[in-house]
Amino acid sequence: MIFSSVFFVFLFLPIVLLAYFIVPGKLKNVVILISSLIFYAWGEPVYIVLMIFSIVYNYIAGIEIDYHREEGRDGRVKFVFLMSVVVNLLILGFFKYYGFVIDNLNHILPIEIPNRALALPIGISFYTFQTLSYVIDVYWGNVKVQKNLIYFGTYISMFPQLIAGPIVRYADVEEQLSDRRVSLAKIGSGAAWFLRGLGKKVLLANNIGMAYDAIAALPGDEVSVLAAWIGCAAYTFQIYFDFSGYSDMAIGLGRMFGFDFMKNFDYPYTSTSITEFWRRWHISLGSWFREYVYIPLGGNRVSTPKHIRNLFVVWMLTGLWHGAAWNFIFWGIYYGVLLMVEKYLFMDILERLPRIIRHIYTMLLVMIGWVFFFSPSMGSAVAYIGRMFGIGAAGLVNPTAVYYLYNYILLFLVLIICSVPYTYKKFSGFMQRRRSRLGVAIAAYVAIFVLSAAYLVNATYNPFLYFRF
Amino acid sequence: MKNLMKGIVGVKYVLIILLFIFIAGLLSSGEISDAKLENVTEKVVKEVGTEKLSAADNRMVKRLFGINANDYEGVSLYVAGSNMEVEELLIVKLKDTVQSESVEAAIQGRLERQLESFEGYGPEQCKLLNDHVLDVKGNYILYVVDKKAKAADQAFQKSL
Amino acid sequence: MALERDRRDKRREAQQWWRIFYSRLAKIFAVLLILVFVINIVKKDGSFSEAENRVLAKRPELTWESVKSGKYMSEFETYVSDQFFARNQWITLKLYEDKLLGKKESNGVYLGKKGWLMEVPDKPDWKNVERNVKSMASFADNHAGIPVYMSLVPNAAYIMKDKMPYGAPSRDQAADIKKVEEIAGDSLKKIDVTGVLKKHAGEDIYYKTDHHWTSLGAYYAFGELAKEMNIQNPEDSYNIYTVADDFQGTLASKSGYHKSKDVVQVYEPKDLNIEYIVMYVEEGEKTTSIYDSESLKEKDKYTVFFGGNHARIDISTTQKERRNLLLFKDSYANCMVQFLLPYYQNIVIVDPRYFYESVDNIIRSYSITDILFLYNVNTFLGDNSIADVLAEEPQSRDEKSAGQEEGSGEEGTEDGEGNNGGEVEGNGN
Repeated sequence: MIFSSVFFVFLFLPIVLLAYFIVPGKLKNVVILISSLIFYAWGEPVYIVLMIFSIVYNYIAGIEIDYHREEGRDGRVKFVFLMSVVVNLLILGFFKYYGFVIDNLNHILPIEIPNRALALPIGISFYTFQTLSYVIDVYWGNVKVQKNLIYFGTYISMFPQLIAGPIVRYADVEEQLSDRRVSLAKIGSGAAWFLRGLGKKVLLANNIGMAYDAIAALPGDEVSVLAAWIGCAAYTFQIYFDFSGYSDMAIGLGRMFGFDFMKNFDYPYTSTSITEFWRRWHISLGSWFREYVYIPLGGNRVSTPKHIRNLFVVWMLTGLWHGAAWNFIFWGIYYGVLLMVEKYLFMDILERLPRIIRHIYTMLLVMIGWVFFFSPSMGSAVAYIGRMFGIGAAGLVNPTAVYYLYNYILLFLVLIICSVPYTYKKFSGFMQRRRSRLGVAIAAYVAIFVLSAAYLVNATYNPFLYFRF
Repeated sequence: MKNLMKGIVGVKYVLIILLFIFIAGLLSSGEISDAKLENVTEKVVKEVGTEKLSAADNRMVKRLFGINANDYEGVSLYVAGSNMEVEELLIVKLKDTVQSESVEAAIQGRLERQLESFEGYGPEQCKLLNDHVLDVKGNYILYVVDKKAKAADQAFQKSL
Repeated sequence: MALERDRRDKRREAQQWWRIFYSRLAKIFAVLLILVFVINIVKKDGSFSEAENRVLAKRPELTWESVKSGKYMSEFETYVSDQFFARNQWITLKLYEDKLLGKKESNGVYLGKKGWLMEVPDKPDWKNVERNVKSMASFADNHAGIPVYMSLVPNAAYIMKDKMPYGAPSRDQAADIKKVEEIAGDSLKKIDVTGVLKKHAGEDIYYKTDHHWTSLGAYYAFGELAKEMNIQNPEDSYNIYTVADDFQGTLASKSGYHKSKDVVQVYEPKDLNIEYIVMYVEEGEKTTSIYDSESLKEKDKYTVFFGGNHARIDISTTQKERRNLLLFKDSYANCMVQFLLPYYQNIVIVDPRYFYESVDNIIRSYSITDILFLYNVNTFLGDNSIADVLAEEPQSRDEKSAGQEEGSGEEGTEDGEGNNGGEVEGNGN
């Protein structure tokens, strides 16, 4: 089930909210757990088995670690911990990377290993990382063990962030699971987050996605330099508004149930360096890798070669996390290298450049990065980048490019305006000055709702990009 | 406490075993097979024998089932020699599993028409038709009307 | 001091503003959700969407199997979306939003100038095209005595380029036709209608809201057909009847834009007095008109010609000259038949998408003298049924059991088209 569907917004959500607010305090988590399991089972029912396995297995592992530590048996603690990390990673590895590994082995080895593609369980990358955050933090003693299976299940399966994040660390919601405040104003702010996210996804991301799809479908020799750039820019906006819109909806839904999730995006396209970009893009993933991989490896408090190794490992894993294909791995390493270059060679020079140059530099590299991300293979990525710089392109400008530019110019303007913090700040600043503007502000949100609903009802086109990661 | 812990740990290992069974089940059922249609057909035909059946072309597929063979990865059809015999064997390899619904419907349609034509005067044929096998396995569909249909189905499943 | 207090007051005021704002938003959000929820439950399910020209999804049946496979859920989602209250108004709103954003495309349809809707042509599957065209060529070779014509009609998107949104990508259909003709070689006689259509591109030779051409377009093309197909003194004066003036065709349905309306006309020769009978072979029906006036009451008024597509239609006329035409076609040809009709004693119309009988039987039993493939370029390049219909049937079911060598059957069907073809033709003569 996805948030941006008539079914979710106008049927599932009202029923769940109603049930949630009717039942007494103790049962509220039960409502979330049950509705989350239904939500998860909705798409591919068989995989509910995996979800339940994950919940029960890691629940037991946590209790075991705690028990052995009380008894003072460090060896047992370590064994149980490592085993549960391995089991979690093996499940993720099997469902997400099995086909990829076998494909590559078949290339190298003389024998043909039969390859059976299993459908990827939705959200497995997200909830596996959430589970690991719990097990690791219990092992490190950062959090107390969770003895209530319902609460633990609620954390792992919570439907707002189940399929596309943000990756909520257990430590962040530990207390909220048993005690959280709900107020009308908080629900309202949740609704505001949700509606902004819905608008981003449905009105902006999906519409500009059509430009990207159309240009991606053109035969290579009909793509001019301009068309290649329009296509790449369209994707750049699509992935941001799609993913951040989805995260916003998740945060909003969480708030309606009284949870506070961290924000996942912070206007990444205003960054003036790649380092800054990754502090603003998919924040919850970045901080997960920092917390559980980078710092345990020694972070930057080690010798330079070791630090470079650490960065390399983290970014290769980041790439791999996004998908089981070589171009994702390359995409990750691409950023690893850029970050190293910025840190060791470039930062001083970069900081002295004018802001606008730094901004252009960042966006250029980010856009090229997305080409590796959206291309089906490395070869086609290289060909696409070639076209962006005139190699193999159908001239600088052709009528097709003009057609798409003319078609989407207005939307591009809207997208740029919505990519900078200035717009929202101005909007709220203006509104909060007078009581009389309350109505206008509410009308603006209702308008987003109605305009998005029209697209939802007309849902012939609604691919969700971050589904299969 | 200690015994309780032992019990809980026991549950954990049982869960792991169950997970393996679950994954094995997933792997063996309903997934995309890249077996070649010719090989699958060969193995199934071997099972039912060729005394009664002989290969038919795409036009026959359209005539009998109303589906267009070129819409699919491949179709093999074997039919009995005379109109008075109902033995037939259809194997369809789909391009996409979403096609399975329409193919199943086409097969059901064919089956119903055949049952109608033989109802009342061909008890043996009707029995064969009623004992047909219609098996959908991921991107493969098998339809057999033959007294060895069950064996054919087993050969079909093994060959994927 | 005062300044600081002032600032503090302002901040408190802003905080209060947000509290009130969020509380009210919460209430309004809740009211909206409940309202829509209740309306959707109270509202009766519709069964057919006139605007979309399709049956709306019904509530799916709940079974263990359908839940396990996930089919129940996906059907339920479609159902909820299909049965949303005021569905058509929502869709209209979406179209307005698209328009506001300046979009020139809607669901695979170009929104052209002056209310013209144009189909975005598909990418051809050349492998399939080659298979089809080669089988047409060898079919022609196997029937050496009978001229086999091929005429491919371009789409509006190609002929009326000036009505397309500026620069909108579309196929060069003249190049596509050329490529097909190269594959076909000399076996087929090609009739070019692109030139004459381009010459009249300023007239209403295509429907604005439908992917077909009009009778007028077919009329101009008929001029070319008559020249090439050796039709002597083709009639030039027609009684033109306007049978509908509010036609909104497939492209209107697909795109959702219902701005323009089209006129449907039928042409009747003035002077030629030819009577005829139409036989719908598959359906076993006989009529005395190629027009179906019932269709004019429905949304798709192009079906006034023959009431739509049929596997096989036989037309017998009172024409004295012994000429018999076998016409392989898609729906573009439906409005061409009214022009061809007076010049043949028999016309057998075959739509390979639905037809599977023996073509050679038709050629034999009707003593066919002319064969014509008349297709729209876009459908032709997407067709995958022509080759199978033209493929020779190795033998009928009963013959097979008599003298079929076991094991050779499979090969026979694979590459036996040419070889067996000669044999069957030999029987025919």
